Amino acid sequence: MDQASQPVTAYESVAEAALDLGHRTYSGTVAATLRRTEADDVVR
Amino acid sequence: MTSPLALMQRPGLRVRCEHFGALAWSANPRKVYRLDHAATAALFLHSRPRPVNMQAPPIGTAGLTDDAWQRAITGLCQQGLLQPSTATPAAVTAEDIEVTRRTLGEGTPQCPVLKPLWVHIQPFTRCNQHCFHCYCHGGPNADPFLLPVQTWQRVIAMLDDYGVLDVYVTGGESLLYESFFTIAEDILSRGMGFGLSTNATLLSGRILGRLRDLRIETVQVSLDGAHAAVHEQIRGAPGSFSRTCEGIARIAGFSAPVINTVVSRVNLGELEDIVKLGKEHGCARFKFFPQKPVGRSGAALTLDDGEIMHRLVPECARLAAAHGVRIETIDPQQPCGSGSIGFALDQRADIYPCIFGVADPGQRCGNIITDDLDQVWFGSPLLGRFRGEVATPCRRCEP
Repeated sequence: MDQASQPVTAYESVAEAALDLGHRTYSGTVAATLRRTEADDVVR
Repeated sequence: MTSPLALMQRPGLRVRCEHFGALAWSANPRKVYRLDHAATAALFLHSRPRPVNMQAPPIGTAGLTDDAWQRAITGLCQQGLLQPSTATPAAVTAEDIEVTRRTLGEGTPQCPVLKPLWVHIQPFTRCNQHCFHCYCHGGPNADPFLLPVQTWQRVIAMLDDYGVLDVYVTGGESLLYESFFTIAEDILSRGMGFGLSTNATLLSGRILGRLRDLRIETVQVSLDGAHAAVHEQIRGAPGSFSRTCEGIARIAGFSAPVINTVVSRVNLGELEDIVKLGKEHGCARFKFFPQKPVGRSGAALTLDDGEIMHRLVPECARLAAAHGVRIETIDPQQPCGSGSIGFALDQRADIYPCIFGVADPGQRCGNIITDDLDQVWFGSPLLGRFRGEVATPCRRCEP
């Protein structure tokens, strides 16, 4: 069973929780933004 | 040994509903847990002792099968969130089910947005220094407006009730704020995480003693150069360099100082010397984040994307490995949390997505005293934009 299907996941710190939860919740939009950012850098 | 008759939620646990189920956390030891919907329902129902072999109740939570229920109970027990109890177990009643159903229904956000994990509060902006990069126009003659400390205490209580885990106090120079210790003690007594940022130039014996009594794990100290000329030029504070260095060493006597350097074109070449200086004064952790072009910062001295990605980021990795220290800086793989997992309050308790936006009226989302936080957090179009479009480098949040 992977971590995503575990009923309970423990984090050792708020920072670790923030990182994982942030990625799980906003990963789609953030990934899109990173791709845009990289493209912008290339243009520059 | 007698087998336990019941299982019950661990005492002292805090829980808040989230779109994926719930977040639970404990103050001591400080740990955070992500629960799915089944585990959330199980934890809520075990606020009273329940039979060990209880079957899934008909709460109506999607996917709450007997199998999911049993896996949730097992997971909660493995993490210690449910504990054996010798108390007489209470059977789940129709009223228990109705209360749980209502609590989950009313508390669970309908959109995939996390509730805030942390909040920066900035009770005032007065400072004994006048940094050229200050994001809030702080300084000796800064805006003197102050909310009563009782108001800040009400705000902290509200944040605690809302399930905010950490509160960081910033300014201005925090140790100039006469109610700093009242607020710090209030936050810490609630079991919330607490962070302090200071320039470490005002550490009298009395203040050091009070800081020591707070038992803060880390104290962040601003050091913007490894040499007096650079540090004092950036901070607009002649004679401050030696006092800050002494302050770091004093803080290292009872806490773990973290040196925070706002990196610009003025001090980009000083980072290795800052690491060496910090280590000499008992510091093993550094934050080297780039100056943002906000507040008093000038764009001319702000690193551009190329300097951030090709000079600052690799240099931090090299220094961390070479000197055996921990260095935090921009990580292109990590999203910015401002507006998505945390927010900021300025000295009027106005809400902003990011502490670096408090000088920009266009980033004001509301006021935590006069507006409903839940409506602002989930309903503000500006916060929504931060969740969708802002990633590192964080200077991308410039207007």
